[in-house]
Amino acid sequence: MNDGVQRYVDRAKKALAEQNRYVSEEVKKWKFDTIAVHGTYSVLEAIENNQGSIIEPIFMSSSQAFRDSDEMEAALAYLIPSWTYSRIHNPSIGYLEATLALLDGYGFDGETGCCAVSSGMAAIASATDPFLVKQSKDSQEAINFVSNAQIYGGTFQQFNIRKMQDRGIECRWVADPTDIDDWASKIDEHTRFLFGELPSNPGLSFFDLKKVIDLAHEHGIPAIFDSTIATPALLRPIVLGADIVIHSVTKTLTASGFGIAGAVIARKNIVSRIGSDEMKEDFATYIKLLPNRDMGWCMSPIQAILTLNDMRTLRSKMDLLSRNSMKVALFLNEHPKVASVNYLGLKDHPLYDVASKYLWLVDAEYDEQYKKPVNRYGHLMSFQLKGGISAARRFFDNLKRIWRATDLGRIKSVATIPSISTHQQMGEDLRSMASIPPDLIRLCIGAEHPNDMIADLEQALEKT
Amino acid sequence: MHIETDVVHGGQHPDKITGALSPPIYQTSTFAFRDADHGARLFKGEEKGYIYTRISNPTIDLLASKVAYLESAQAGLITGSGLAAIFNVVVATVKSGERVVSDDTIYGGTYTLFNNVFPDLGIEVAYVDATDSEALAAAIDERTKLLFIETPANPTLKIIDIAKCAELAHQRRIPLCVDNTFATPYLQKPINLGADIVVHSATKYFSGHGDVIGGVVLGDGDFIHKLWKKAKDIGASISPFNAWLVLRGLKTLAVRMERHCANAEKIAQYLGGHEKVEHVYYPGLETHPGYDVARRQMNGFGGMVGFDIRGGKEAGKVLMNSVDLCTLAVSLGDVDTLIEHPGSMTHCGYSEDELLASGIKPGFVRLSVGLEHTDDIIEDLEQALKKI
Repeated sequence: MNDGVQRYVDRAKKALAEQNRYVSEEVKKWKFDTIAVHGTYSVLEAIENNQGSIIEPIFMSSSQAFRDSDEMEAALAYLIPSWTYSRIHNPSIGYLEATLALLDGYGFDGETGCCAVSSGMAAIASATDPFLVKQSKDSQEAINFVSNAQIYGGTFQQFNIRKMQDRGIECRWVADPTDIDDWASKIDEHTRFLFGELPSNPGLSFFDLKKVIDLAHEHGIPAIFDSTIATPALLRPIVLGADIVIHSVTKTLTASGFGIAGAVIARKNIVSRIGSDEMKEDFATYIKLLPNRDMGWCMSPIQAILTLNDMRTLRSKMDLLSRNSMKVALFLNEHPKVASVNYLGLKDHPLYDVASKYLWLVDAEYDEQYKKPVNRYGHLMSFQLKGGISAARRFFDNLKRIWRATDLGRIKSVATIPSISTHQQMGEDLRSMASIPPDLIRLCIGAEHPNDMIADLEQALEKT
Repeated sequence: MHIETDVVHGGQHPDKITGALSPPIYQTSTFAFRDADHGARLFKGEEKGYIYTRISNPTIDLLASKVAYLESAQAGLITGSGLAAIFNVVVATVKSGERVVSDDTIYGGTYTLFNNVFPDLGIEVAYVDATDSEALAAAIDERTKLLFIETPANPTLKIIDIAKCAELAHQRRIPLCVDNTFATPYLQKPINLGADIVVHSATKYFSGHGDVIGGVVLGDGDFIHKLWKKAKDIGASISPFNAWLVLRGLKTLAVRMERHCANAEKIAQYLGGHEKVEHVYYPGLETHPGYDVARRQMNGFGGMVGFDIRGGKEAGKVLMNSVDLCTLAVSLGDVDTLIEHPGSMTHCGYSEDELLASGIKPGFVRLSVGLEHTDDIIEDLEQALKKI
């Protein structure tokens, strides 16, 4: 390393030390809401680097210019924090990543990192593929991983077609994820990780994730969870010991519906039987700087700031959406034309107890209106009508205000029939394994007044 | 440097802190102060810095300096629209009881601003044919504080001699303001021809993609400072995101204008030879009354073409309803070809006599020639003209 490069490295070390001090001594001491509002964007950074702008700037630039060859060399060898090219990194995306890492690590005494990507599906691939590599070129080992069967149709497709059929990597499905023995029986020496989606979309599967995490760690493999539906406002698997969390950031984290985005959040020093020390030490940075640089599923800087803006009110939004959903679920549960309602917050739901063990509104004890921990169950529910598929379609077609769309986690209420939309590509047999009957209606309640949504549901139910 | 280089690099440099080649979008309403004294110094204007985006914003400032650079002006101010730019210029130069002398062919929106808003402020606007030097000299009286022209003018592409107007205005010690929206600095730089103030609708060729509403005022540093002091109270500010889109559009201004001009020239020639077209308005045609002046003061003739079709208002309507590729829309300077028939669209409330009085024949059609292949545009016009 020549003197010029060394100078840049020294300067960067100083700046990085200051940033780390700010995060550990100040930001990490804040409550969840304060972190969601400000992230790591300090007053000092605004004034010194960004003209005092109180909102993080949108660096809508593909590339970074360098002062000289020494700075370029230091940056491209990853010796200094820099961003080089927006496929690899970007200052605006950095603000989002820092905030998400802190939110999903809220209450965790270790460090977390985040890598933002172009979509939730890219997040799943980013989080899982590094564990699915052959250990040597000639290795004949039959790589496998274990997942609960009740997962989003897109994820199912990625696991079932892209990994199993295209690459010969076996996904071992756990049909009843509450049965910890079923998880355990599926693990062998070639199992690379355990994957769980909870609450799952659309079936609202839930299980004791602490047990699944412990099981994974007993076998020296990481526990990876898709926490899209809960968001860090209700559930933070890393705090419970999980290694990696993925989000479709498109959903409640970007409740406005402004775009498609994903993120991988990992604790430092994950558990894994394979992979380099570098990968295990800081998985989020590793995938960001190496595999994702090469895969190219990067996020747009404007998306990062739009999402950041939505996330500032995440906790109160999740509280509101959960309360509205509970009211709607109770209405549906009482309705004579409704055969069954699947909402984790209903006391007669078979998974109510296990969900109540884990789904808590963050910082409710510091919230003046609650002053104690309160359970919140999110905005996702599904239900079936007594009249089967034809009644379901008639009901669906008669919704006036609730959108018919394949979407969830919105500030606007949205309904869909998964068997003909989000989970259509799975086919009937696999849908049945994932507990998705053909007449299941998925409903996501938004921030409208719940009485107006109930009125819309009521009039549509009358027409079935 | 050449204009092709200036539009790419002029007035811009990579971000000092992050090195970002494309400037950051400071989509923020407000800015933080170091401490109370810092805030006080900023408010008093003792230190340069940012307070609030209505007052100034780094992304918007960058656009101002870039456009000033391109127009050979000392300074610039960005506004929320082209009309806000003109409004700001008039209120900064003309007081109640005073008046503006304007050429009689101007954009309809400007005309409405002059006639509907300024009388309430006690500002009178007198119209004159600015190509008639004697009439212009006679129109400028003691109370006149601003001479306003648009060249090429919307919609009839009238050409006015900027240097001549500047000379006359300066004899009377008043500033000349030129709306340079149609020409852009790629084709003419009014300040180099003697104008004091230049305004633009940045919505048009500057953005180029039809995705922004914005305006620009250019002039000397003292004037822009005086203007800015009023503008921040008037509040016609632009969004930083819109300013950024204009910055982005400007980078391809030269390459777009070159093609707009080449395409428009071909379309003008085609229309000139068409039996159903009575007259073509294009400053690049020798038959155009402003041809000599245009050749002298412009580096090309622009992307706008006007024409009168035989058959008047009804024929105009048929043409509008028959075009397929050309889009029926107001605005101009977009990458798409836009067609507008004042008789049945923007001026549909006018009687034929009223249309004629404002210099617009009932069969007059305005075409903002886009960047499509000219064969395709001509083919569309040909099939539509056949239906008349």
